[in-house]
Amino acid sequence: MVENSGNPDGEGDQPGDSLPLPVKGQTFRGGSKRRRDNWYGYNDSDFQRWWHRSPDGKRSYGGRDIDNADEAKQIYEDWILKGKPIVK
Amino acid sequence: MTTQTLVHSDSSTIADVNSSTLVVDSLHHLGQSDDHQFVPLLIEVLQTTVNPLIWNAAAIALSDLGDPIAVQPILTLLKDPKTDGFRGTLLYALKSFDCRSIVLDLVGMMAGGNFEVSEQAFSMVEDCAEMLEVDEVKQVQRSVAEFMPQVSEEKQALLQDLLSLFE
Repeated sequence: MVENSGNPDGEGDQPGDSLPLPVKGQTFRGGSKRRRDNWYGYNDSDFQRWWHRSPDGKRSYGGRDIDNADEAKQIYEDWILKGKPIVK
Repeated sequence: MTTQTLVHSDSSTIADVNSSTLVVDSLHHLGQSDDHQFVPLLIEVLQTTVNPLIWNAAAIALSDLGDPIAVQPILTLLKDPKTDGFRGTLLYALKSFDCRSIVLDLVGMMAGGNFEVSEQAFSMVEDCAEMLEVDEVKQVQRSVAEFMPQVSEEKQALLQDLLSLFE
């Protein structure tokens, strides 16, 4: 995990200070098109639920995380081929 | 079911999926029981197991029970080196809790985590973005700015997308 100094009380000339402030309740939630195209199911709650809870999901991979976008695409397509099973 | 029964199953290896199936299924049932008396047991399992399948199942069960006392133990395990490569479900389990208090941890996981952890962390920050106070957003922006020079171009794009949530 990359370390971060945090500095929650920092004021003044800090990195990020020049970035625009949000307006609470009016933030943009869609993400960029590039992100949406590359999520491969990570914005699909049914896929996430299947991956984390189904015996056919992550458990069948020994519990190991998805390492890269290609792997994510493969697993997402596998879920689609299975008929997009929904886990309660 | 006793703690000893669950913890004893840790003698299985990480790759030994079959021997942990019963424990994993039992843990999922505990999570669906809606009985909070199992929370301490699940946390103990979470803290003692060396089997990713079992800590994932314990974390999901704690998520289902929804007791916020589970957040810190799950977060601690997320930072434990032994969970490297097996953190995605631990993070997913935190999704059902109020994640504003760990938003800077989430930014760190976006910057330093593998694909699944990064995407999951992004999704969780996205979910709580609208609820962040102005000061909290400034902390996130500062954190992102600190990480930017340390990470790959791919991660920089991800962090840039994070910043776009606040535009």
